[in-house]
Amino acid sequence: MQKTDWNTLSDEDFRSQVRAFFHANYPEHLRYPKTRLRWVQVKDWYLTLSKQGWLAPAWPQKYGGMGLTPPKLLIFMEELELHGIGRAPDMGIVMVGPLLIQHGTEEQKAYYLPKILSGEHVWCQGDSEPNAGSDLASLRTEAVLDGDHFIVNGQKTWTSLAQDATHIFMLVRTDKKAKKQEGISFLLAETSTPGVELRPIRNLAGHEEFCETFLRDVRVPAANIVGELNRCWTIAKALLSFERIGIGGPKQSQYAMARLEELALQLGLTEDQGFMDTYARYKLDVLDHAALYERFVDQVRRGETLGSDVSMLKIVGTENYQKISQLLVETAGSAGGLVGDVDIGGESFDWLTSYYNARPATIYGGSNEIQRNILSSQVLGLPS
Amino acid sequence: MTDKPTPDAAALAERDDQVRLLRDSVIAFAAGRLPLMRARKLRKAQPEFDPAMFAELAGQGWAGLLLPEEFGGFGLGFAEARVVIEGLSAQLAPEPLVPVAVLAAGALRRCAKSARRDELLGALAEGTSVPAVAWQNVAGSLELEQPPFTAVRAGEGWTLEGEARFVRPGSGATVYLLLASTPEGVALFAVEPGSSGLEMKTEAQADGTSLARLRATQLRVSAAAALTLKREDLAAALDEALVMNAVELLALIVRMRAMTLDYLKTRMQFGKAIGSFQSLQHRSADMLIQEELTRAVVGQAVAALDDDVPQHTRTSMASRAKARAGEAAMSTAREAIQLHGGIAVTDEYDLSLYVNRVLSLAPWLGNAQAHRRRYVRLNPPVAASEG
Ligand SMILES: Cc1cc2nc3c(=O)[nH]c(=O)nc-3n(C[C@H](O)[C@H](O)[C@H](O)COP(=O)(O)OP(=O)(O)OC[C@H]3O[C@@H](n4cnc5c(N)ncnc54)[C@H](O)[C@@H]3O)c2cc1C
Repeated sequence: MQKTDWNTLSDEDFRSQVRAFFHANYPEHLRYPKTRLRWVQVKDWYLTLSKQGWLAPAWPQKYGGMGLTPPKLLIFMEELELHGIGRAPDMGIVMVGPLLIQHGTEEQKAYYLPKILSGEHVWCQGDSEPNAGSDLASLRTEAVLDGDHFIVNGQKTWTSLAQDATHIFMLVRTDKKAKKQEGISFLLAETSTPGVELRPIRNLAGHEEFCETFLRDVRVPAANIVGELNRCWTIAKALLSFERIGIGGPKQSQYAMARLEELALQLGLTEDQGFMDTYARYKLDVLDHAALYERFVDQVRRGETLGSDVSMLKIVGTENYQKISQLLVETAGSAGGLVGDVDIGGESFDWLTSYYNARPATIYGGSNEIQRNILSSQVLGLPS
Repeated sequence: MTDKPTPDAAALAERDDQVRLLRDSVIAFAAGRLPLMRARKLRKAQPEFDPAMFAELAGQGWAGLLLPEEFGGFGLGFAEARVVIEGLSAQLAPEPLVPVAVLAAGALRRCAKSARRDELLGALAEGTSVPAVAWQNVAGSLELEQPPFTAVRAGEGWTLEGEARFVRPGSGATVYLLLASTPEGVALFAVEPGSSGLEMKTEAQADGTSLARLRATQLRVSAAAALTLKREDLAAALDEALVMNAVELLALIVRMRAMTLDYLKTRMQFGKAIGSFQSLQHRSADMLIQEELTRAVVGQAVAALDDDVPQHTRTSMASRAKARAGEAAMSTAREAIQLHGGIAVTDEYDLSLYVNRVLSLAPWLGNAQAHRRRYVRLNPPVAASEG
């Protein structure tokens, strides 16, 4: 593992090194993947990054991360995007790692962080339940202390790629008598523990991208609580708002926009005023969203914490993505209902995958209705 | 005001009663024989529908519903066809009633009389023949000026060249009707699948059905296979298919909206039914408005077909119906997904079957945008008349 202080390089040098590495090492066939990559597909790449010491760009160096400053981190992420690098199962890197680094015990950090970096542990996120979606705080999965173990009972759902995960981090109720938001704790568990049962769910496009996670008398060591018992709701919310800037970026709409432009060129639509009017509108929507995103990113660069107004990023970004994917289908005309790679004049196009991927974007990570509620109550101060 | 004679009230009421009776029997049939589970299982099947069920539908008289009695049909109108198609669409039956009983039947019955035509029409009404019309070129144009195939005389018969796309049903057709330009105009050439010189590919659709892509290379056909018709006659059949396609979409809209409304009333979050949140209430109200707009224009379009209005009016109505139904179906699908939350994007929840059906049916015969454009091409803006 290299022990370079990347932050001492000039931005240009850092960018060119990152770019050169991605070009040399990222498998060509995995560039711009159309659906979420599964662990078997992406494991080698994960380990390549791991060997290079580049798996966790945002973690401090002392935990095996790159310890990048926000400006360098942005360069790193831009290069990932520019090269079309697919998202690996990254819950361990983006959620569990930062959670443990901030709130974990020394033992937890020493045990879990290296195993995330080595690819030995792959994590999934167990927040949502059948009856606790938008109203996450009403979650009912309970963990009852029994000696030095918790006994966990309940059900999680929409657990993305749980079938590939070795571990799950869950929100559980550890005090049934407390008020709704109190009495919630973070618990780490192995998915191979007896009593954990996963049932993959097929999505709209027919892919198994998430699971129902059943928990029956699952014994989890009491030491696997992260942070203070019964006091995790605020940490959980912080983690979710962190997720929000991640899914509030312009990447997905830019990608869909590029596909739209290719299709329009192939169909010779640049002379079609009707198409061009809508295209121009969406093009500027995407550019302006990117500008808004930059504003928030600058805040991060300056080391400020983000306010509730970050919700607007997710709304604009996901709704741009949906409009563009919709226009893709419309532009495909009579071919619009065809799935997979469709031949248009000798080139192949796949608009329905964009369309399918765009649908849940306004649902997960806090639905856009919930984001609008946040804006109107917490930013605008409207009475509820 | 038209100066057409007004049909007498008693005759109208009698027709209404007949249509209502037919609707009841279609609903009863669909409830017993066409459960959603069947549609779910038939996805990606080969062929993409159940031929035995198609024959059963024909046995009910629904394949030949619009055909005159001389061909074994029932000579009924579009008000009747509408209730049959609505009933089957609501249960997502993949049997290709609109492509066969409306489009192919409408085109064939307008062809010049010939033994081959009569035989095909008879078999269609009986449910033993499943013809698919290949009328659209690879670019998917809605215009009939550039047919997908070109036919030249070769000895007694013909040789065809060309390529068609977006042909329904994509699998299970027993005969293709290839639209080709001829020295005299256009004709439909009846060609069996597997004929040498005819290459067929299927392209999978979102709902598990498919569209066929057909390429003719030195395809030799007999003189008897050539069924001649006028372009405007084929256009008339296409208008009928468009209106019935709008009917199918309306039935999907009704179902998706009903499912969403039920869900809003029963799904609890934050201690209340999610239907109590005003933002969702307003969106549901907007869904209702789109459904009613669709129902209104579809109603007028069906009546226009039955009333045999002039071609220009008919075609304009057909485009209006498809433009609204296509757009409303797509927006209803999107809204239904959003208002349901996560469960909507799962395969096992039935809404996904409807969404995927909409994605497949809305582009067929031209999507909403294409028909908005066709409408204004047919009806360009005119300066307001003075006085
Ligand atoms: C593809 C995908 C992947 C996911 N991955 C994960 C994962 O890995 N781990 C995990 O824990 N969860 C995951 N989720 C779950 C996701 O977080 C939930 O779907 C989301 O929180 C919404 O909850 P719900 O689906 O129960 O919808 P509901 O909360 O039931 O919402 C239904 C509808 O009601 C609206 N609504 C609810 N409350 C209000 C209100 N107060 N005001 C106005 N409107 C309201 C919603 O916006 C929505 O339109 C995933 C979901 C999807 C779709």
